[in-house]
Amino acid sequence: MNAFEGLLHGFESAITPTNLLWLIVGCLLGTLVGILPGLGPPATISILLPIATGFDPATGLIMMAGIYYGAKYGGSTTSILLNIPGESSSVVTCIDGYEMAKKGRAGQALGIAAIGSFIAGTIGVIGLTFLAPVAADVAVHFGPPEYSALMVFALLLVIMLAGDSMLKGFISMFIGLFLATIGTDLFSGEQRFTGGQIELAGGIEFIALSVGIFAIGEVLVNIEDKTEKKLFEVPKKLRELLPSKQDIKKSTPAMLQGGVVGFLIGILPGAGSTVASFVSYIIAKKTSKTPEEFGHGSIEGVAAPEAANNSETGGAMVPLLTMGIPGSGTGAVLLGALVLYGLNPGPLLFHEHGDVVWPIIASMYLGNVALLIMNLPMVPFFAKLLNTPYKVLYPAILLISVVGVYSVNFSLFDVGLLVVFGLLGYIMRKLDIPPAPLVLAFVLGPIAENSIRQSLLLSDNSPIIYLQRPISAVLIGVAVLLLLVLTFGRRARKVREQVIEIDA
Amino acid sequence: MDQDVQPKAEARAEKVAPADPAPPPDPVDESVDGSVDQDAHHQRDERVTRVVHIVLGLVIAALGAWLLYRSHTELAFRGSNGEPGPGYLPVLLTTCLIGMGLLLSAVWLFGSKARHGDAPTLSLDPRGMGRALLVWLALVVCALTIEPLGFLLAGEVLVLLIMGIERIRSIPLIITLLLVPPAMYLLFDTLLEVQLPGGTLWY
Repeated sequence: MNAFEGLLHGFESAITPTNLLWLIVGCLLGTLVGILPGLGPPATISILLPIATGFDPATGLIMMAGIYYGAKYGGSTTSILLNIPGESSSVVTCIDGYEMAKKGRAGQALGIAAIGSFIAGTIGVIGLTFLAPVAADVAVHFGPPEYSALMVFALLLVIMLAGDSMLKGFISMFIGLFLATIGTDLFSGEQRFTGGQIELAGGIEFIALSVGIFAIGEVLVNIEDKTEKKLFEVPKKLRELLPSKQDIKKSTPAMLQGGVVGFLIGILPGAGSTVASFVSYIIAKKTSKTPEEFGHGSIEGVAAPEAANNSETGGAMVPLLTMGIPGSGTGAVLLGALVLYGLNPGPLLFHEHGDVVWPIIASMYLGNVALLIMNLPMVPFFAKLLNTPYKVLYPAILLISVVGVYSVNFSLFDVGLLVVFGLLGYIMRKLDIPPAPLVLAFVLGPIAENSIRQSLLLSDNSPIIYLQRPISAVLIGVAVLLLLVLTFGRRARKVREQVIEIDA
Repeated sequence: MDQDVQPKAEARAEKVAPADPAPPPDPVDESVDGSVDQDAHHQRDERVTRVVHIVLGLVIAALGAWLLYRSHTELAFRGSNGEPGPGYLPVLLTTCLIGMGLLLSAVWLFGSKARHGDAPTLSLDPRGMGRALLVWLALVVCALTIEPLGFLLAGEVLVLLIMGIERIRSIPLIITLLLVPPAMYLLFDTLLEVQLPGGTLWY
């Protein structure tokens, strides 16, 4: 089945009343999650996983994908109105978005953010449509050595690009990998570090870990911040939200560039939308006819990062759907969802479960349209939600988390794990240890371990097998090179420091 | 050193002109005092950050060592045919954790950025952290009471504890918060048919 045929079949399945309903629910939830600081897409999807697994796989994944890219649309609202990024990917939007709001151009900033997100989001999905089947065809030839090299490459990239300390990133990753070993060893049947607890025989429940670290940990950190910021007045009429023809003409190159850059960076596991939006911002500034306006309310400074962070979603879905490699915490949770549905994430997913994958891709086209329609007229309503005191919001988040985790196995042991991982997530954030590598390593760890052990079995315990196979040799070589460049390369370090500065 | 010098200079000034009225406070001096306080605060943050990281590294290394001991003694490193056994990866990972922990401590103890105060500081406000930990304890209490009391009452316990921690006095907020657990119960147990614990005390 080629891309066109797959997409047509996908639209056929996606355009059903049930799927459309849950697509809109997902997009709405995602927008809300993006707007309200304190609850991110990974936490929201984790919490909804137990409920979504009761749906048809395509329906559940359509809803979760809707939350994923919906949050990117919503994140710009708080960046522009409050100078607080609703999502980490909207950090760069704060720079010029807030300045535009101060000059009374909040409406135009919000409007161009929505339009840029739509255009670039569509570019990202088109890229996904045509690149994913090609990548899946290549990945079918992967054996255990290629898989284990790819896992190592993905984990290294996540560490290198996430957080300001690679050392802490490594620590987070090793903790995640160790946690993944708890349970029954698949090769020998032996119990590892279960402490006699029967509930741990199957390993630590992924949802308890991800909700604990992402949702509870985030809530506990946000509780500390009691400052309240004044909200700018949001235009109520749709006309006032639309940028002028001149604004759109000026922003078009930035939106198109952001779309392409975001997609390409999204393909790299671990790069994430923050890096995508930052790189796009720098390129837009360097290529702009009015670079002096950047930092003082340039509309291109809003269009470029917003475009990149939406297009990145399409790029991130390529390794996720074709190779089972998540590029971020949200991707890790989506991967967990695929596993819960009994779908084996990897190159065969396209070939064996095209009836699930293509509707997800088709729904992303529809979702972009739905989000554009939702975001423009509903922005004044969404902005009002920002006045909700966090004291009302977070008890609800805590209770939803408890319910979500309990409903997976109806186990109070899992609720106990949730509480423990919640504290771990909080401590990690306080100590500036990035949590994403831990969750990613937890998801990829079992796959990596099995692949490594199979590879060593094949090669009679000789690690040379990784260098003998061209794909794994290239992946390991690139990973090592990247590690050296990013650790010791001066220019690369300067770029990382700039990203961290903006993030701070 | 400056602290030793200043009090003596002030005392000398008082002896020379004790009758002189105190001059009006100079706004420039106040801002200088403010920035001196900020510097002292920042230096304290740097010291605390450095100590925390050194201790963190040692804790990670110690934890790694304990887990390495367990991996080595409880699990076979190699299988019967020499292939990687169940202890293979745990031993490698825990060894790496020990190394990373010691490296973290070393970097913060001897690294130039840490010694010269150029490294980023952690945000460790005791009040804020205390509040967050109290909320976490409230969540622990909720988790422990779900089985005997059921989800609805355990949820109300959580909400009441949070109201106490946050010192919420506003009646509309109190009513809204008290309605959150029943709303959750209605949404999940009734509408979405996720069976929530009813409480072993009542059955």
